[in-house]
Amino acid sequence: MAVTVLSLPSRRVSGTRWSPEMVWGTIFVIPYVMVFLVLVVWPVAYGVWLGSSPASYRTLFSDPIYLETVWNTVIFLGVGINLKMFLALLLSGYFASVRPWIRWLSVIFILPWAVPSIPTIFSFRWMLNSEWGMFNNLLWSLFGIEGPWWLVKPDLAFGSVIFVHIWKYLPFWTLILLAGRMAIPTDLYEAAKIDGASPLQQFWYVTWPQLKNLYITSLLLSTIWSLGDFNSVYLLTGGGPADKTHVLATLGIRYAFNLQQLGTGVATVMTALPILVPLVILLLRRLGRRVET
Amino acid sequence: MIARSPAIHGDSNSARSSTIRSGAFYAGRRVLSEGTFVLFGVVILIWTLLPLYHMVMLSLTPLSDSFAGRFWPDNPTLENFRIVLTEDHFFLQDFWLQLWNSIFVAIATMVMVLVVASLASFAIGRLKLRYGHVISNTALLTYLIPAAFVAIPFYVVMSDYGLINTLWALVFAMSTFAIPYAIWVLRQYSESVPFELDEAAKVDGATPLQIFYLVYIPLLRPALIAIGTYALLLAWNEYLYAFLLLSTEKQHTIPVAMGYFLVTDDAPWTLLMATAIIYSLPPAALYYAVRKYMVSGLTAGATKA
Amino acid sequence: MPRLARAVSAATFFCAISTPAFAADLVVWWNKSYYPEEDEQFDKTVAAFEAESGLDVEYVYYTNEDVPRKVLAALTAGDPPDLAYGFLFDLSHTSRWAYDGVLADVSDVVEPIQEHLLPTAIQAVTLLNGQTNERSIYAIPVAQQIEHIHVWKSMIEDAGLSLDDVPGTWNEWWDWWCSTAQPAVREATGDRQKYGVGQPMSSAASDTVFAYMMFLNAFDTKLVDDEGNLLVDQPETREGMIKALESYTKPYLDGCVPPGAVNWQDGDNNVNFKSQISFMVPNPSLSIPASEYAEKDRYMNQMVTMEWPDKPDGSPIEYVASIKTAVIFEDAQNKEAAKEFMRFYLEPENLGPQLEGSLARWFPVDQRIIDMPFWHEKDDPHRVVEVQQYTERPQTVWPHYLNYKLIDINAENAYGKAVGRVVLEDWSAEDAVDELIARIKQVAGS
Repeated sequence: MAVTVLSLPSRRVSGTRWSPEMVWGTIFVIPYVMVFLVLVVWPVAYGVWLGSSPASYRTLFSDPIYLETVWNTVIFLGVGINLKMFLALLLSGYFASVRPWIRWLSVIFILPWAVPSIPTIFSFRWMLNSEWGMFNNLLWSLFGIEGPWWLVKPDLAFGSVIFVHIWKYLPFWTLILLAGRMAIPTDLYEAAKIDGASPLQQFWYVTWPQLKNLYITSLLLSTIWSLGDFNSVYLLTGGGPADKTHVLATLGIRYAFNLQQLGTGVATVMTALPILVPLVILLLRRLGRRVET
Repeated sequence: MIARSPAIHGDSNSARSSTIRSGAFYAGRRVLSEGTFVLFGVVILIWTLLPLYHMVMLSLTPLSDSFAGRFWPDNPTLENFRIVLTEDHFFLQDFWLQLWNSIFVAIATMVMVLVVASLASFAIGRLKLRYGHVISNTALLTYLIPAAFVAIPFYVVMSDYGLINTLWALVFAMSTFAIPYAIWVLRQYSESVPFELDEAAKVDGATPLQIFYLVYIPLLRPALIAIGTYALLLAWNEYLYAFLLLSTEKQHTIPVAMGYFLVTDDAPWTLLMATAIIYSLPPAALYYAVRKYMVSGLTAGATKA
Repeated sequence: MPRLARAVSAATFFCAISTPAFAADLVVWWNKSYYPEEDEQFDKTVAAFEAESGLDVEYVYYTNEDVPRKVLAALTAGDPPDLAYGFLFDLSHTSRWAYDGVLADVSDVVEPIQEHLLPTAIQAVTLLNGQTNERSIYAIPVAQQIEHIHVWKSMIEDAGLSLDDVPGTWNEWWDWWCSTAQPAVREATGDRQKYGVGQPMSSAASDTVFAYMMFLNAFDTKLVDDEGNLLVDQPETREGMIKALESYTKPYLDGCVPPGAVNWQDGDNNVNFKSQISFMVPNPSLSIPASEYAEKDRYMNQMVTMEWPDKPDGSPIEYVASIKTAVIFEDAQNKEAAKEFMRFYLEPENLGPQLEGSLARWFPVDQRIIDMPFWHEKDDPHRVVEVQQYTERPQTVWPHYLNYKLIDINAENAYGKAVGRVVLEDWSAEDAVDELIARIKQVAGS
């Protein structure tokens, strides 16, 4: 359709405002701009408008579970994400070693991330059930001990949520950090070995400086994504027991769709902005530096 | 652990060279460290596989033994798979239709993401569109917004457009979140493709459109495969948006249908797991088929230090 | 380029064909049933109505949660259907919609048959309209549900006990399941995962609210008076709520309720009972036996339905009836057609078979239907008890029928949260009830 329009400008003399590149470039970028305006800007603007009523915030802050939810979110991000990234760092070192069977192990290791969330988290939910779960049944039949009430005690339940989250996403970040490790030239390690560096020293003086940027970027990215991790909580505990394992993402959905209070739902998510916005700015700066190379 | 031969390192570690250790000592240490290494691998294996094993085990458990909680079912059976595949249960009446819905959404998302993202990244990166960096920065910003946060306004907006309960709503939702990442990865990857190729093609009289599909697309194939797979998996695995945007059974994707299993009297969990296994095979298989591309493609931007 | 254009036009096309076209004479959004027979009955009724009236009815089935959600979206958009029926309407929406003035007055549908309807049904649909500040009939009662008790008689008898041993009054009754029956059953089965009280303890299940309402009735506690005024400020009300909460949480604290009960969603108490992990369960409908209807031995012999125990003072407990309502919207296009349809639907020859298709899960509110033979089959052990509960026992309605603001308390399940405070966080019942009362006052005004 648009081709006929374009045959003209390319025949014009130079000095014209629209070169073929610019015309085509503009056309090519229109689909994305449309997507952006219609599916990003409009919903976000609408969301801001929905969440602009002070009454929603009053409702939100007067709800006894709000503070607990904020605390849960903080623990989830502070403890859960850092633990996950630290494990990813360790495991990336593990998988970087040269063994014939390591490749097979890493292939299996990626399964939690590749398999969809619903079935795997449901599997956990069933496995950790206090009455008939396989896990506690095993503990009883093998060791004769009564397993803890994994999803019943609020602290254990939230710990299980963090566990499930780590189980699912650890492989992805391990892969990322592993790729980062692979990119480090081996002669750096050779030189270090010749200088008599212990493995720990090799890590500190060779690996870590090369990996640091990637690690921090990954940490920031993971924190932002985990703020929006709905599945780990919702599919494992549903926010329960007694709404004690909610995080901001699930609480917002609960308000909007269970209690039919859209404004309060958006307000919940808005209260995450003080955490989200600084992270986004930090990350944009880091990533933006790369885009301009 | 690196076994150090005192002969080579003796000079720099004069303090240690005085203690001569036998070869057996080092061999012992090697075995111990190797043993720990293998043990660690076993732990990782168990950690990774236990919940997946549980899924498989449940799917092979007869319906009546759902609550037995055994490690291996007393009477393993393939009956659950038969029930799912023949739609022989009240909740599974629309299984094949729902599977088709999932496939449709996944492929449509993949196509939309590939088309929009490749066009946009070409325009910004190769055609050096003015304000191109503004667009790519806003794309990056979108990438950083957690999807669960815009779910509520997105639902209302889709409702206003009259798209609730249509598969296209889900396709649009998934594409919105995958396209920014796709643009970013494609831009990173295309930096390794020399600009001289574009120039050469232009000299030969190629229009930008021809450069796009004769030069750009073929050279970006690995990244496109990675992005396409990523979009496909994202759409296939999605729960929240599918659950919010799709309401009637005929429009459900499999994850939504699985979610409804929970709020029933029967809780036929064995059937749920059988459904889940059938549902999990395509993405796992696809991922393994293209994993080479996935790693290089997805880490293209991230690893540039 | 062409590829994109094709994609865009395909998208538009699909959008166009997937939005419902409202061109019929009557638009009905109906709750999808639990059993295919019920839905088939409704299909037949609609067909018969179309034949008789000549009107074209467009109807669609939505699930329990979706009907209210879709109605709310439609109301916001200013384009509601003509008629809607949802199992959850009376629990979370009807009285609020009446107050907001979005429902059409349906006195002309209900009053002609008022003499046949049970008084609780009338009370449930006579709602306050906040716009006119008057009560009138704004909903149409279709069916009702009530709390029952189900027991595995087979498990009790295998443990050497008999149901005749069960005490009659409240505290002793609950205690029997815990201190007498549970140890006996555990010993008889050799399974330590057997629980005597399958009480829902979760804030994620409406079952918890149903059950707590019964406990309030046991201790003669009313949250609102007949005009809808809150009574929670009164010390007797607070005392009653505390006693009810203590009684409710005692079995769990004594280890007689499955620990996972704090996580139960609607349906999980059924699941636990059917798998025989708990052998006594309160449930607000006959869904459990109905789901076992095909297993004749389990249905007829092994499982029984019982009445709730008497109040601590020995008098019979009042059952809390949840009246299922259909509503017609004030802003709808075809209100008269909707009313005509409901008049047709409510006729015993149409509604009767529908409720029969539910296998007695839903009970009639119309005496003419109750008098039909299905409900008096003497050899069905469950139905016999159910009919007795409905026809011979005193009944009350939900407090939020009288004061719509309490709907929000139901929606966030503040009662379940109070239960959670006691069993999960070791709060005393007094503190939990004080928090509950504060929340009620906050949400529902003073």
